Amino acid sequence: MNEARNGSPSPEAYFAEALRAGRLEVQVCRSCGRAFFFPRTHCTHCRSQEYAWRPMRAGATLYSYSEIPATPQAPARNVILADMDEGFRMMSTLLGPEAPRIGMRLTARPDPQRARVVFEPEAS
Amino acid sequence: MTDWNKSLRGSIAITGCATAGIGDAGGLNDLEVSSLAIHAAVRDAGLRMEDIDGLMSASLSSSMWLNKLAEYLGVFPRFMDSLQIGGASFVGHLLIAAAAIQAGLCRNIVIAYGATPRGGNGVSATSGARAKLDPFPYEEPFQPFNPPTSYALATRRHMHEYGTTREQLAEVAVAARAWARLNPEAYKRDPLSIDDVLSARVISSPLTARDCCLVTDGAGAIVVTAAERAEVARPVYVLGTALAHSHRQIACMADLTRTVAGESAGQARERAGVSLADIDLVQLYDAFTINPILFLEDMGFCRKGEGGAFVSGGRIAPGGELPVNTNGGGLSCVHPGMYSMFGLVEAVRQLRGECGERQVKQARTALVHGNGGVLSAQATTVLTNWMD
Repeated sequence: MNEARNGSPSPEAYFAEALRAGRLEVQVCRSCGRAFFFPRTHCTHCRSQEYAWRPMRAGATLYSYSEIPATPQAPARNVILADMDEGFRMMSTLLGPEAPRIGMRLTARPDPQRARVVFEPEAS
Repeated sequence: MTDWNKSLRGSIAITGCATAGIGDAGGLNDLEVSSLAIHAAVRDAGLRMEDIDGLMSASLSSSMWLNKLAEYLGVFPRFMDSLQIGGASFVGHLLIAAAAIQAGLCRNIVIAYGATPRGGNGVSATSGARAKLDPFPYEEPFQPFNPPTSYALATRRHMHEYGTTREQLAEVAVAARAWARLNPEAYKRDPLSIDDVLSARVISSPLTARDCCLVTDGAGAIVVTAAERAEVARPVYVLGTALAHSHRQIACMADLTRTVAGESAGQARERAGVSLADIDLVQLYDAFTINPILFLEDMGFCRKGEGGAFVSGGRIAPGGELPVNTNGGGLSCVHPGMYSMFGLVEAVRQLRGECGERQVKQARTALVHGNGGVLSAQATTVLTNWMD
């Protein structure tokens, strides 16, 4: 069996394409029902190859962060780890004036220009 | 199924070791500095280069490094392996070397690492090229300054969960410098205080430049052979080695305050048949000040969350209860991209009693721990100068 020829697009390419189109999507396993990230060929929980792309729920909690001062090569920025309500973690950045704080509630949104997921503080 | 405890415990010995170009290699390249260390280690083992029939090494930049290295050395090994799991690789090589020698694949293996990021291929030149060859699409859009940022994320979480302080982290760097001041080979030997660490330039918060390992030149090499053929005055026996792996990207690490060093160290000690109380000195890969804190906790030298208090008050410094990184470590002695080779060399020198002012008294058993990637791969070995 030639596994590459089963008609599924590259999970990595699909995820980036959706972001560029302004859609935030995640793989959800058809076998165990759980979401998994980063995009892969098989479910990271039960190893099933059967998954569907679904809209990603935007709610998250900040797990950790680091602030990097500006250098001649790059501007100042923060890097965060966001624990998504759907049970996975991703690296991202917190946009806006509010300083990152462990435990703060976050909302994810697509950044189509850079094909990435970014976060803002959850609206209170 | 081979049982390590029966067949591999103490089956190989380190019979030679050497370093070259530690700190600033004066413009030598990676092959040149490696060659100097390897020739010296083989001489130290009482062997000729023609006796070397096994070669193990790893490179951060060359895709067929062993081919290049063997060619440069003019050796023709019948066993070669280039396990590349980051800085833990060279401790990991001992696991494979024991199996290869026991299986009769070869007799005398050189394990080596050398790089010259100061004088040769600079970090700024290679990091961009490496990013192109080895993409991280779920990290790069956020421009982490890796590896420091990944370790900074672990540090921040440890501070949050356990109340670990910046001062406690700085204690690790200060202890390393105190050891380095006793080591003529160490690159950084000027005094360092807690305040110096705290007030240094922020690299990736909460880590400052003094929380981060050096970028230096340097090479190290060891020669391993079957223990029963170890015809040197002071062989150092490899009692037990183990590997563990958890992730590559820091976002895929389940709990940033808990590494799999506990698994590798636990299995290495089990294979070696030694308890924590038997360990006279510890060489831990201190890429960042959080590392020894995490590893000491995970290995059981103290409880989870108590690492900050454990390393304080000079406990891991010269004269303290637990000698850690007696050469000055990656923080103050040497760090050419990957480090664990230098922890091995220092442990061998300590177990042979060659360490002068920094010599640990009655050193019999050492634990050497390598870390690779961003707390990703962990490798531990237990070495001794005395076989029961």
